[in-house]
Amino acid sequence: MRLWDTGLVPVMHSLGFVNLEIMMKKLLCSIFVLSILFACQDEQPLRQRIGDTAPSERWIYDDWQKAKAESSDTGKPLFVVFRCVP
Amino acid sequence: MLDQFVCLRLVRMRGVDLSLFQFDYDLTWAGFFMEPDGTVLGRYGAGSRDSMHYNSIPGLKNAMKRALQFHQNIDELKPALVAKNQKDVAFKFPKDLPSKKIREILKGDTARKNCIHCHTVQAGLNEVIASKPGYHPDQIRSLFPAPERLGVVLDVDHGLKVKRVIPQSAAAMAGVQVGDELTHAMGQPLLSNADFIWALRSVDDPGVANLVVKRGDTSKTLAVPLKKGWKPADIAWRTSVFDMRPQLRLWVEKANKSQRRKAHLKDDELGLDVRGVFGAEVKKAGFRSGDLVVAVGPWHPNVGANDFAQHIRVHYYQKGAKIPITVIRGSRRLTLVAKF
Repeated sequence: MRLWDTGLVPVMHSLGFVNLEIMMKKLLCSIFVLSILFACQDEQPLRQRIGDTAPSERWIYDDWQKAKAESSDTGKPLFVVFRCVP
Repeated sequence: MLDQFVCLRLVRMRGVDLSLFQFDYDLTWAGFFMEPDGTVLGRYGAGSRDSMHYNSIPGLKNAMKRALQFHQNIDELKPALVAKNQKDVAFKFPKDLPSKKIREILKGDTARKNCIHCHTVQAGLNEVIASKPGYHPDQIRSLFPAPERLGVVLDVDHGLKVKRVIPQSAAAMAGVQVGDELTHAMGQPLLSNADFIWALRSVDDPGVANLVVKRGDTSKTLAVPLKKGWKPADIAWRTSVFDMRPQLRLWVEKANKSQRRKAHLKDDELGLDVRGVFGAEVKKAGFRSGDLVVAVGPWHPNVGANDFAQHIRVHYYQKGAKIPITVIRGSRRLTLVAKF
């Protein structure tokens, strides 16, 4: 059943809403895209998820195992900083 | 100097191994210098009412230089560095803590909502301490004794140099002098004031703090005898203590000049404006928004909300406690008793 057949569209047109069918399609598309984005949220790196993009690339981000391995490989000591994201 | 380290930033506590990373969890910033096998070279970052009282950029740089020296001499220093971490922790990860607050947080459905903050870990540890028989708030107050409790004030930029010795203090009696540089405390090599505070945790109350100081070209060993009661410190500034019992859940703020004048309060007298009454016990006791708190029992110094809460946590912590709080309501003076 098309949206027009529901009788809702003529009523909306009479209220001044035009291209309602196109608007509804856009809305459904947006909901679909947003739901995909939310579903993928856990796949994103923590840093992006919490919007913490300030620290420079010098820093290993939230990965103790990686930092430990790099310290063993390079012979450099570790400098570990605990800092909440403001 | 950062190039000489592998730099790691940790932003959440939920997966952090508490047997490796032990520090003052009330901090918003804490630094660790470590070997890859988990040996702690030292810490940087110490908390206080004034958050920068123990911290500065030059102080951090000096700690980093010392960390590099320790790293160069790791084979020699390792046995002494072992004491910088307590190995037998009861809870390896924050999620293991039997804490109501942490359980609630872990139910959060986003990375932000289910984030266990550093101070949440300390709140969880406090819950464990408070759940044991014989609990006294001084156990929590004694967790991080400040250098001033011994009678020394350290130069924040140097990190370990004695800037002032408090007259008649234990440190003064033991012969600590201005200009001395602390190198060891309780056998642990020090690289910062945070390290010193950490080493002081292991000193009993009463007890003796064993220090090694560098004075000119010589090293001196000093034993600082500490009397009963040296250890409990100010905890009013700590976020982790908000959940300590009893929780009044009474929102108070310092009264303004006009309110104080109207209540005829002297400058040194307590005056806290009640802005909200949320706790069942304080509601039952009859508190109302607009009341002016002027005393808790006989105690009435002019302090703010955090110190008011600290006084109550320290003196009315026992189950069944009755807290007599005097308020001014209009022209009347009432004593309301909150029962826990």
